[in-house]
Amino acid sequence: MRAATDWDLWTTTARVVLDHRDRRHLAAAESCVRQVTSAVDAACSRFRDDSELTARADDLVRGTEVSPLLAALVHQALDAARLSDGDVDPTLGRRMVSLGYDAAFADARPVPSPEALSRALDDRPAWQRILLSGTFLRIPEGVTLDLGATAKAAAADMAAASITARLGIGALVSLGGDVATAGPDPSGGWQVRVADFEGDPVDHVRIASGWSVATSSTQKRRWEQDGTARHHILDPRWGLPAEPVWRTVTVVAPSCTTANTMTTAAVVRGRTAAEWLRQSGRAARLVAADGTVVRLGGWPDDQGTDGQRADDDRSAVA
Amino acid sequence: MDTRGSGRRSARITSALVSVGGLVVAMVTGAGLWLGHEQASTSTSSDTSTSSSSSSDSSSSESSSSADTSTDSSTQPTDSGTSDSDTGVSQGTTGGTSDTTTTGS
Repeated sequence: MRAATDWDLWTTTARVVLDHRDRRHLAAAESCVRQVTSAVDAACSRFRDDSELTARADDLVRGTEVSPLLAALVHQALDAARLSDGDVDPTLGRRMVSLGYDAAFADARPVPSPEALSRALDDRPAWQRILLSGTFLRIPEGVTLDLGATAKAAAADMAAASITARLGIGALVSLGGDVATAGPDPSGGWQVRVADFEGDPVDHVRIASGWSVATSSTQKRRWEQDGTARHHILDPRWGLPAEPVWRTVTVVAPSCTTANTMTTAAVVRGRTAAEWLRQSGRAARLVAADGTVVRLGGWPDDQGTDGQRADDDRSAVA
Repeated sequence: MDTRGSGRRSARITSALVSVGGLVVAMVTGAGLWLGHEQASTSTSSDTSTSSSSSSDSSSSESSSSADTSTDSSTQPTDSGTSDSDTGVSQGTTGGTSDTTTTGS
C-alpha cells in the first residue's frame, strides 16, 4: 500500500510516494518537494525573467558570486558535460530558443542561416569556458545556459533526500519521469513502470532504495518549425535535434542526475549508445524507433507478456 | 670501592625486567589486536543482520485510512526478489499497480 500525491509542475507532473505506514507525513513530504522545486526554478529557469540565471545574465558575463544552489546546479551540469564528453551540453540555451523551443511552443522563428549556424559552431564547446569556482560563476558572452537537462533530475535527487533528512522516512519523488528514491525501502520495494505512450513496450522493475531511474525520449516535447519536426534533445555537434534512433532510453543509476545525463547522452549518441551504455555497466533499456527493446547491464529480462523481447536484435543495434 | 659487581647484577635484573615487560606488552597488545578483530567482526555481522531485518519488515501491510487526503494506490507487495546491489534494479511485479511511471519528458 502506498500514499501518493501528484501535481502539475514544469509542464509535466510531480509525484511523491510514501509507504502507507508513513502516510501521515505525505503533506510534509509534498511540502519538501515543492520547496526544492520552487528554489530550483527560481535559481535557473530560463522561462522566467526573474530567475537568478536570467536576471543576472549581465553580471554572469563579467563573473559574479551566485547562490549556492545555482552554483551547485551549474556544477552538476558541467559534470554531466564531462561525463558525456560534451553530449549533454548546458550551453545550448540560445540554440534551443532559436529552434523555437520556448515556454509557449509558439511563434517559432525561421531556421537561422548557414552563416549564423557556423558562427554558433565556432563557439563550441562553450561549456569548457564556463568558470565556476566555489560560488563564483562566469559565463562566456553570447552563451545562454540551459540547465533543463540536469536541473529537473537534480531537483528529484534533492527532494527525495530532503524528505528522508527532514522526516526520517523513505520516499520516491518523480519529476516528469525523473525518479529518485531515498531512505528505507517500502513494503514490496519501489515499483516503477517504464513506458512512453500507450501501445509502447512496457517494463515493470523494482528500484532499490537510494537508486534512481530516468528516461529520455525523442517522442515528447516535440514541436514543428517550418514544417520540420523538432524535439528538445539537441546534438551539440550540429545544434539540431538528435537523430531519433531511439524512441526512449532509460537508465538506473545511484543518482537521478547521473541517470538523466546518461539517457540524454545516449539519445544524442544514437547508434553508438548501446555499446557506450554496455561499457558503463549501468542497467539500461532502450527502445528503438521501430519499437525494438534492448536491455543491458542487468536490466531485468523477464518482462512477461507486455514487454517485448529483443535478444536477436541486440548485436545489430549495438 | 668496587661497585662493578653490584653494577652487573643491576644490569642483569634490568635486562630481565625489560624482557618480561616486553613479553607482557606483547601479550596484552596481541590480545588487544585479537579482541579488536573480534569486535570488528561482530560489528560487521551486526550491520548485516540490521539490513536483513529491515527488508523482512517490508512484508507487513496496513489498511488504508479514510482520513487520508492523498491518493492511495494499492500496490500488491509480492516477493519479487531482492534488488541487485550492483545495478539498483530487479524484476518488478507485473500486473500490480506501480508506484510511478518513468517516461520521457
